[in-house]
Amino acid sequence: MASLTSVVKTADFILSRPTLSKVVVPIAKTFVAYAGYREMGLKFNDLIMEESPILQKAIRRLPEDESYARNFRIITAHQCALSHHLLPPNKVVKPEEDNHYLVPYILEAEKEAFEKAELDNIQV
Amino acid sequence: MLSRVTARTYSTAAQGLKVSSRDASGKLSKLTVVVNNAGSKAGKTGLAHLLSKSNFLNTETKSALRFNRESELLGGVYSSSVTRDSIVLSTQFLKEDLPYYVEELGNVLTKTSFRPHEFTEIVVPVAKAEFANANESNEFKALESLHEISFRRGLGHPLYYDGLNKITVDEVKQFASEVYNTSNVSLYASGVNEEDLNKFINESALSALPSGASKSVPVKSYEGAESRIKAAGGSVALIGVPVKPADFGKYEVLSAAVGSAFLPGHPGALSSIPGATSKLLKYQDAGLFVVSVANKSGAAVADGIRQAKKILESVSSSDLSNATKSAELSVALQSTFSHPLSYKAEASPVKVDKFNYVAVGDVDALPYANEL
Repeated sequence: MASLTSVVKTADFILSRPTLSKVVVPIAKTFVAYAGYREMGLKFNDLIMEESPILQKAIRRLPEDESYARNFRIITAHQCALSHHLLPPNKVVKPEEDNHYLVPYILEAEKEAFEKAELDNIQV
Repeated sequence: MLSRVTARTYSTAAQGLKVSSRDASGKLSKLTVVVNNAGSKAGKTGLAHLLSKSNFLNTETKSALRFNRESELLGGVYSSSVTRDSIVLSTQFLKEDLPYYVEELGNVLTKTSFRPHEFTEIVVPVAKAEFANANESNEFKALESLHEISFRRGLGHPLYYDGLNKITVDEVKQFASEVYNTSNVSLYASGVNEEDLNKFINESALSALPSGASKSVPVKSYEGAESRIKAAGGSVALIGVPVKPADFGKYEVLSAAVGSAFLPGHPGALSSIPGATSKLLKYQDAGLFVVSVANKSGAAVADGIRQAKKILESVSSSDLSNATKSAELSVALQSTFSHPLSYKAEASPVKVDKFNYVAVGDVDALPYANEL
């Protein structure tokens, strides 16, 4: 998997070009609408694969309330999956609530890991 | 080869930062930053210890890991510690690396990031480990307790963070912004060229150190208190007398007369008791004259502390005047470049009838203060 740092860099590049973002942003919005994770009470950052040392580190560093909210959303989604129901429209995660609460922590953890790898292999 | 002091100069670089520097032969340089009024006596208990452990971590310009690795490559060492009076950041390195360490010390004092994850992952565990390590020793426990009963607040605060009161990273950050200012910070440089040092200071973040008022902590001392702590390991008994800074010279002579911990070659009367020494602990606004007896066996300590009390009471004025020279030597031995001591040993009788007493270890065997 590409590192999240490169993903964020690409996204920033796309958003900085008006023509490119005019094409890509609507596609992204359609993708999100069809992905349907918001109907199960999740935010996009809850979907990032967490079985890696960097993600574990990032999740551990979340503030207590964010961490609680994340677990609550994941449990809600499990319940929805088990009962084959979607959330009622008033409980669905709104687009403005779907923020990148975890991304800054991942970026910091990745930066540390990259720096460590660089310093471990440094040639003097 | 002994390092020869060629010059010692004081200068005021960049906006009132106090700099003392001296050149020395040899290839080694030492930079020591002493932040006064920032030791464990200041602020909430444990705050200063946590701040001292937050030094040399991530700054805005450089990560802690990078600094550590670069420092290893340059062959330098650095450390940050807390005393009751101050936080001390010391670095030691080869002469040519002066600009690097001046810059880094400037960054630590002005640009530390205080990341919340570093606080929980590094600062607090390290502080707790240091606390636990120090408390393995009953001597340390006894001294902590003696400070607590002698000064209560301020100097009586525990030296290390015990993990019991909750301190957030924001409080540490706030404390750092209060104490890291030009009126508190002094820089001691040995083995450096003064001109170069001043040039590097002006180029570094040290010149951006904010000016501010230094808040000194009021000192009030108490006598006649007693504390007993039951603990595993050896037994320790302490007799402590709070001392005013004006009386440091007198008590230094008394310490030399009965046998000082700093003068192992000049045995006094205390050397007849196994594990007994005396010393004068000196702080900015107060001191503490301590006679300690430590031994594995509680009964031996009980005997020893009774004898030590008698020895203290029976010091004659001729003993004191004989010990004046030894006391001067003791002061000279304890004086360092970054902690210069400048008081005169003075042979004059001092009373030790009102004292504080601490017994740690086998308290069943150790006497009470009024039984001495």
